[in-house]
Amino acid sequence: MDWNSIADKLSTVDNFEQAAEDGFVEGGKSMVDGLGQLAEGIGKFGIDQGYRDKVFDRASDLATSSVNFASQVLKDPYGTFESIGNGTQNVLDEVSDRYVAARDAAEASGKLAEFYGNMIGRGAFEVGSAVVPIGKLGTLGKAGEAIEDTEKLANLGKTTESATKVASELPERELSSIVACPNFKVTSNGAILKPNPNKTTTVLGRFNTDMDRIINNELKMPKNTDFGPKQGGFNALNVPDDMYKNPTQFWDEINKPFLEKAIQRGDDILMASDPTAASNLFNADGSLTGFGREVEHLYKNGFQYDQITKSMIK
Amino acid sequence: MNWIAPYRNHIMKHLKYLEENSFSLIGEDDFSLTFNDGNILLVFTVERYSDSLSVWVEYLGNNPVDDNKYRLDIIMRLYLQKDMRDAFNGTSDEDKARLVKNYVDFVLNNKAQLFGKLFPLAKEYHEFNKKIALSALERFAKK
Repeated sequence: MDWNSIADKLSTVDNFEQAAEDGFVEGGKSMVDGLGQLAEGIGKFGIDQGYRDKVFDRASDLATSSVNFASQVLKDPYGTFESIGNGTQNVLDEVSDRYVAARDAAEASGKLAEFYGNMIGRGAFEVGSAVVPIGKLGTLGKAGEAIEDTEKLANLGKTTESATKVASELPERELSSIVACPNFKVTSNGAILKPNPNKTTTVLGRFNTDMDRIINNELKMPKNTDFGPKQGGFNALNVPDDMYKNPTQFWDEINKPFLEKAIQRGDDILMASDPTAASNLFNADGSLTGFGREVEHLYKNGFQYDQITKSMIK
Repeated sequence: MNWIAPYRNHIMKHLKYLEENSFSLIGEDDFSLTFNDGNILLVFTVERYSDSLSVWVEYLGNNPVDDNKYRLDIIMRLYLQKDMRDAFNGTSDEDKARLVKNYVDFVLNNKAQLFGKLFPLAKEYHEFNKKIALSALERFAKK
């Protein structure tokens, strides 16, 4: 799909609308195809079949939903856009800027493959968001602004195409750094469980959604109270159950010291669960969950959650 | 250790009532119940190293826009349009019994409105879930 061809068709508003619709539908199809290739490639590196199928099915649904939504928007632009409001222009700017910045950061840190995988999973939503303000400008006759924004859309499209290309060439490309850890796994928020050969990686998350599987299935970690360094390996809180008396005691005596050691060592701190979901941070009565306490402590110590690497950084 | 143990008896007291309303118990570790009419899974669970009961509703149907798992206390808060946190307070055995009853009553009283093939409050749920978390993170950073 040549996204730049969209811009060439902008001689009239009607042409623009048709081109945008065609382009988006094609883009959606390409995304699904690209994801298939990515899933195929990922399979070669040890991600289990169930997860691969889930990622593929979900992203296919996302792409289809976004394509359908965009088609609906373009068929009834005025009715739809009236309800969206004037702030939609900012959506595209944010999406585009974020993609470019995230891609550059990922490339600089040698994590381009993770970025592509993450981007593909949510790509349909992002491009779906992008086409809305473009369509609005087109239907309002602001062809100049539409062209400018179409170039941004083309940038997103190129990223998608690039991801597809990477997916088709996985064994020889950026994922080579992951080959060293053929059993890496992905958590509920998309974090990749991959060791840093030069550091201890401390993994934090909700037990039921992530840590149970990570501790017992992936790391096969026995119950222990060793919070010391594990260069090239992982630390996760997995003490005997009878060390728990109540939330405050457990935090003060066990969990906080465990986390403090990770902070003092300068561990990589990987977040297996999403700290930007209240259901992970708070119990029903408003008190903090164990994971919530960990997130609070890290923020108090100057850390912030990085959406790209799914880790806490200073 | 079975972390759901403090709530087990209280849940079991409602089991017959739940079964009469199309729920079937499929596991006791976390008390998972399937709701046959609406194709949902209701899971009573207590996280490791914790005392707090959480009830999760998982929609088993095909909903492409989210992960289909919702925490029931947040659903209640959104659906009833009021802050429910006080209703989940308490550590005594009576508190636990009341808490389980509140959850069960809510599910059975509102199943027709809430537990169809798709969750009608999905968008509101995710927006609320994220908004509260981001606000908390901002607050944490200022401490």
